[in-house]
Amino acid sequence: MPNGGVIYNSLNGAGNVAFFKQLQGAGLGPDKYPSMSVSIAEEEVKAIGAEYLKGHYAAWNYFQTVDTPESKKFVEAFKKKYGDDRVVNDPMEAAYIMVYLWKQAVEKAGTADDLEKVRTAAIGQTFAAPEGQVTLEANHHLSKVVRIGQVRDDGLFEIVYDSKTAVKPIPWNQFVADTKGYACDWSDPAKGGKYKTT
Amino acid sequence: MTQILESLFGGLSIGSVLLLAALGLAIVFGLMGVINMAHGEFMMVGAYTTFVVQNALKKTALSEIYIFIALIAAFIVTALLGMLLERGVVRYLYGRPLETLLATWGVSLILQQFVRSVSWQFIAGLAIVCLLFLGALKILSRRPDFERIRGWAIAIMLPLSAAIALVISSILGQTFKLAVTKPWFGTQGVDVTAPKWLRGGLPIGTYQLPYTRLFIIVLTIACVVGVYWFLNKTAWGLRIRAVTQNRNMSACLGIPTKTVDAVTFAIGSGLAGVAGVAVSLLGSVSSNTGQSYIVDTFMVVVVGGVGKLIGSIVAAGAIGTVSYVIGSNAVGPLVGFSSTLKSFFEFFATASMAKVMVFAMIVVFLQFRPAGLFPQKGRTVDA
Repeated sequence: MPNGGVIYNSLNGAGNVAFFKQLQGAGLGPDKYPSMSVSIAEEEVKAIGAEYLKGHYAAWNYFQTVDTPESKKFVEAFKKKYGDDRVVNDPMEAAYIMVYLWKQAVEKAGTADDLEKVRTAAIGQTFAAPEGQVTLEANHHLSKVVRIGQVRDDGLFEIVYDSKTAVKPIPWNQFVADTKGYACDWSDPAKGGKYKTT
Repeated sequence: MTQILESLFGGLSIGSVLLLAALGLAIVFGLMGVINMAHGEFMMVGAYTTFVVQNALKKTALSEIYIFIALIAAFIVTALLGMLLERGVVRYLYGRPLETLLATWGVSLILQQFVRSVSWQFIAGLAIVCLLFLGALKILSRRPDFERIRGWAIAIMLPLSAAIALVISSILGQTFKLAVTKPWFGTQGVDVTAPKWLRGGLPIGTYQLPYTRLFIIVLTIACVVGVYWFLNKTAWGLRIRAVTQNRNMSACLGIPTKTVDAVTFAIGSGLAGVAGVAVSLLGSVSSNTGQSYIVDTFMVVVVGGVGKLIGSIVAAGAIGTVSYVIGSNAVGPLVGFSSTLKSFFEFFATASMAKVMVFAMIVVFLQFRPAGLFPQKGRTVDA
């Protein structure tokens, strides 16, 4: 075991609970072994217990603590509908954005039935999302704001990094040999998933 | 030195969780011969009881020792639930293992969905259905021709009371809104946080023995001692042993076998609840919690030999140690002379692959010793 270092946690679901409980039990605290998780959001923090996660990090596009008028409105409306003790998180926000982008695309296309028309009209749609301005790019990926958060005592995230503006989507990691030179373009069914650009 | 200690502790701690989970089943399945597929869900109920007790005591002076209160509460809740299952379902199915298996599996699915959707509205609806339906049957049973109209009465009363309950609970939902419709636990897991003195661990060199693991080892020992004491030193224990050895003879000698069945089942279930408290300290508490343990518990009881508690104890220890040794790749360095063997053990050196290997070993083992480590001997086998 190296003396200190960052744990990159790609666990998904219930395994996270056991992971963080045992991590603390083994004395590997965030002071020396901070973890960066990619699927721990507010809802998961609640299910694991903030006591176990305090000081650990997570990467998302949206946190409940994002300080924009849209975010405040979103959180307020959610709590009113589902109860004060509930929290919102990134996947919920993503679902919320999706519906509105679809609505705008349908309005622009003038029809909800001609899928091809809606698909084309969707490109370039922008929406003032709780996380900030998002845009549906030509490859049918969203440009989104990137944030890193650190878990606080109350189970919400302290935002320690904020890209401020939306980042262009580049599907597939261009720094890894396995996926270098690949791209993904959902606007063309043949190019969805993975295709070679060169 | 630390390596050996670490392996020993790792094996012991996996084994103790297995044993604690299997102890209740060793009684229900081992002694009574009932295949209780809902055993894992009783553990889940125990884990949820821990959650409820934790939240109830959060702001009080007892918050640091809530875990002990949770142990007692979980035992009582799951023991009552077990008694209900035995009286309501299992007792009609004695001697029919396949039906028992299916029925208890059904109960396990019901319990899983119950914790997901239970809310005040749900409880109110359920209570009204039970009250109306059972009340109506009670009143009707006073009629002399009850046996003749029984089928009709059920066919009419059940939908009727269900409809009334549905209407009342939807009215409740509309009047009180979120206060009654909000699920108690929901589909997401809930958090059980160990009390402060159980977090962290005992440092040994660079390694640290987590206190929760130590706590579970102690709890397991206490439960095993408790079960042995109960079965061997108390009057009810004597009755349970008598009934498991020869039911008819026990009945002839005036032992109330039906009560004994209920008590045995309740104790086995109560132990599942205690195990649920323990596993809530280690992993997630959600409606699926029980599912991740049920296979392991049956494995322990079968390998140990049905009908013998000592078998389950040895089996849990052995399976725990083997899984840990394979999972942590402790064998790898020992077979360094052969790169094929080394990569073979490296391949199995993850928690899930270690399980595959352990299963394979158990299958081979059962080929040679189908009755397990400690088979029952003598005439009592068929009883």
